Parts: sequence; C-alpha cells; structure tokens
Amino acid sequence: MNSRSEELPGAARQSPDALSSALAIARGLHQFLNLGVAQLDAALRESDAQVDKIAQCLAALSSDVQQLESRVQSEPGAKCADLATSLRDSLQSAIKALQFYDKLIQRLTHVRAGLAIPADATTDPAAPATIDWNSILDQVRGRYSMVEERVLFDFMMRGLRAEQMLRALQSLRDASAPGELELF
Amino acid sequence: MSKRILAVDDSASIRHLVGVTLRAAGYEVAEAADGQEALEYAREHSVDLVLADVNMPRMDGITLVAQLRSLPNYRLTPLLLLTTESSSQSKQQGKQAGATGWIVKPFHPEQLLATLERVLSGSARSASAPAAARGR
Repeated sequence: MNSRSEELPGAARQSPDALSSALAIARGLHQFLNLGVAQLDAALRESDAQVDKIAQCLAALSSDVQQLESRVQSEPGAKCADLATSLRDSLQSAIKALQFYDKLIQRLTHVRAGLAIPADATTDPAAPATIDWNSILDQVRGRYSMVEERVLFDFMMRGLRAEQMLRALQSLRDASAPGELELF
Repeated sequence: MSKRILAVDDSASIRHLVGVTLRAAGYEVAEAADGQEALEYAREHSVDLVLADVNMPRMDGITLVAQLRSLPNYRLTPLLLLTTESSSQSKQQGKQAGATGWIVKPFHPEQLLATLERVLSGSARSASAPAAARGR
C-alpha cells in the first residue's frame, strides 16, 4: 500500500488538510470503481447474449447436417438447396456473433486502463499533493474507442446509477446500425 | 482472376472471420496485424481493396489510409475502415485521410460481401474512366 492510502485508517489523527485530501482520493477512486462495475456489467451482458446466439447457431448447424446426411442416405439424388441455405445462414449468424470477442477484449483493456491510471496516479510518491482528477478523467476517456464507452463514462460523471446508464446504452445500441457502409 | 483484399486488424479473430467470409466468396485475402505491416505489404504487392481496423498498435487505420493515398498505386483503390468506433469525429478523420467508406463492427458476412462488390465495381468504373472525367 502507498503512503497516501495508509493515511486513511488513521485519518482522524491527521490534519484537516490530510483528511480532506484522503477523502478526495477515496471519492475519486470510488467513482472509477463504480465505472468499472458498470463497464463490466455491460460487457458481460452483451457477451453472454452473443455466446447464446453462437450456441443457437451451432445447434441449427448440427440439426441441418443431420438432416443433410439423412436425406443423402435415403435419397442419393436429393436436392439440398434448402439445407445449404439454412447452413449458410447459420454460419453467417455465427460469424457475426463471434465478433463479440474482439469487442470484449477492447472493453476489458479499457476497464483495466480505467483502474490502472487512477491507481498509478494515487500511488506515485512523486505525484503532487493535489491530484488533478480532471486530467485523469481525460486520460481514461481518451483510451475509449467506442461511443457507448464514452456515453457510459459521461453518464457516470453526471452521477447516474449503473442501471440508468445501462438503459441509456441499450437505447444507443438499438439506434445504431452496425455493418452498414457509410460511403464518403 | 480473383480480386485481392488486404484485411488489416490487430485482432486475430477478426482477421480470421473476415478471411473466412471473403475466401468463401472467391476473393484472395492477405492479412496484416497493424497499419505498418499492411503498408509494407501494400508497397510490395498489388491490392484491389483494403479493409482496415482503426485502433491498432504501431500504425492506426486512419494513418494507414493517409499513407496509402500518398502512394501512386493506391490513389483510386477502395480503402474501407471496419471498426467498433462510430463517432462522427472519427469518421470525419477517416474521410479527410482519404478513406472510401466506414463500416461499424460487427459486420454481417452477406452485407460485407455486398458492400465490397459495390465498392469494387465503382472502383473499376473509376479506373476505366478517362483521366479528364475523373478529375471533374
């Protein structure tokens, strides 16, 4: 533990300035921890939904392959265009759903930064006595690569609860159109 | 001869999924893990279309687009950005760098193939048009 954190348990014996500084650090870190919780909740929910889709695709693929084998065995010249279409649709849905992993890795990388940047700033003995929280907030926000991450971050700064943030994110997701080309 | 697409993404899973989708449709696919690797590949090989992520180590996708546009062989080549980033500010940066278009992940395979076909056919028309007409 760093010297600043060690001040907290005995804060009552510290000067008012030291106590005020320790409380400011605790409040700042608390905000970042809340953000991390909300980000992880959002990532878990979305990833879980995509994995569920992948499982459904695999089940559909398995069923179609069984039907295909059965049809070919019972009727060697049978046309299988309908099954081929169904197999292709399941494969394409699985390819789309599997991209959740790339998004999940990005999100977790940003959650890590959101915890490491304030942690480093508050444990550095060479850091100024008054921590520049605005600069830390800018550094963390600057790492984000997705609009929904920035929305979540901005909602957190307005003091909304995690459930309210998640509802706002869901509306944002419903309004976006991933996969569509925007030509310049 | 099949068209050669350069897929650029630091995520191996995305490169793999793009590769599976495009190869199944008959495209030849080259892969690069970041902008720098893509630029080196593009300097040594002919590429019909580049599909690049934005946020990558060493060289990001927007810098890659700007660098490619400065090469004579890539003045008219379709350069598409495929990314989780969807802010209008980032899109504007992509446009200014010379990108042809912007696609937000996750991509749907059929939609991606239709997009590539559309962009490649547009590119073929531009390349075959007289220089004077292109300059207008």
